[in-house]
Amino acid sequence: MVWKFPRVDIDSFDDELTIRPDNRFSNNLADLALLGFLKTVAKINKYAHILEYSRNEAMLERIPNYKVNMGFGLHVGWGIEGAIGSPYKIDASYLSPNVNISARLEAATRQYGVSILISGELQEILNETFQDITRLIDIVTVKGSAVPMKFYTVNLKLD
Amino acid sequence: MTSSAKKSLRSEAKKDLKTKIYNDIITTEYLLKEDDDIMKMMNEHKSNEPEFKREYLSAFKKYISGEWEEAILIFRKCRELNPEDGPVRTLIHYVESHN
Repeated sequence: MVWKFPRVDIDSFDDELTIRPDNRFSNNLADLALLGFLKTVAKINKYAHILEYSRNEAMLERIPNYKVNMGFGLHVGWGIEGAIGSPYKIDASYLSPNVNISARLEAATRQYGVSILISGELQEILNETFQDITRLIDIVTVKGSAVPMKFYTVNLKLD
Repeated sequence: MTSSAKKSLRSEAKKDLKTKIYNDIITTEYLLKEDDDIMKMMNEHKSNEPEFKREYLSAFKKYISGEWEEAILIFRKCRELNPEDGPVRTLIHYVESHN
């Protein structure tokens, strides 16, 4: 999933195309991105047709205590948008180191046993209410990056 | 109602909400607080209780500043307060495997 910031909110003086942290609209957009995934996690835990999988006998036989469990990684940064594929199959896709970081965050949700991981860069541009519900759980140097990255999560009780 | 009619209704509602947020008529804070499912999931999480938060914060500070021996003692206390906490379990495991 991609949320695009308005061009005027992007500070392009440095090479990294950062979001101005004082911009209300961008703060709201960041909030909404997080809210969208909070809602997704809540719905996965609520909808009967998803909960049904954890009662599927064939599934339980292969994987004891099976339940649908999804992890989400959220990050902010530049990306190259374009059509990827061949004349037979075209996909809109995004390529950049930042996209890769999101994927790594997503993979790391398993390691930390959380539903959502948010990068420090994204956490910084959230509005205060949303910053208040985040919890710093680690500071790590990820492959391909020289600066340590903060990992935040939101505590969500799964049934 | 046809699915395309439903779709355009949804996209109208989305546009409307976007305008309201843009003009500060609705805040993102309101959208969060009015979502009972999310609020319930946060309120029921034991790691959101004040005692856990306090202990966790002091343990985490020590962990980051490199005082791991002290950090792990407090992290273990956090684990007692909420044995299901994923991050605490991961950090305890990490510190133990590097000592």
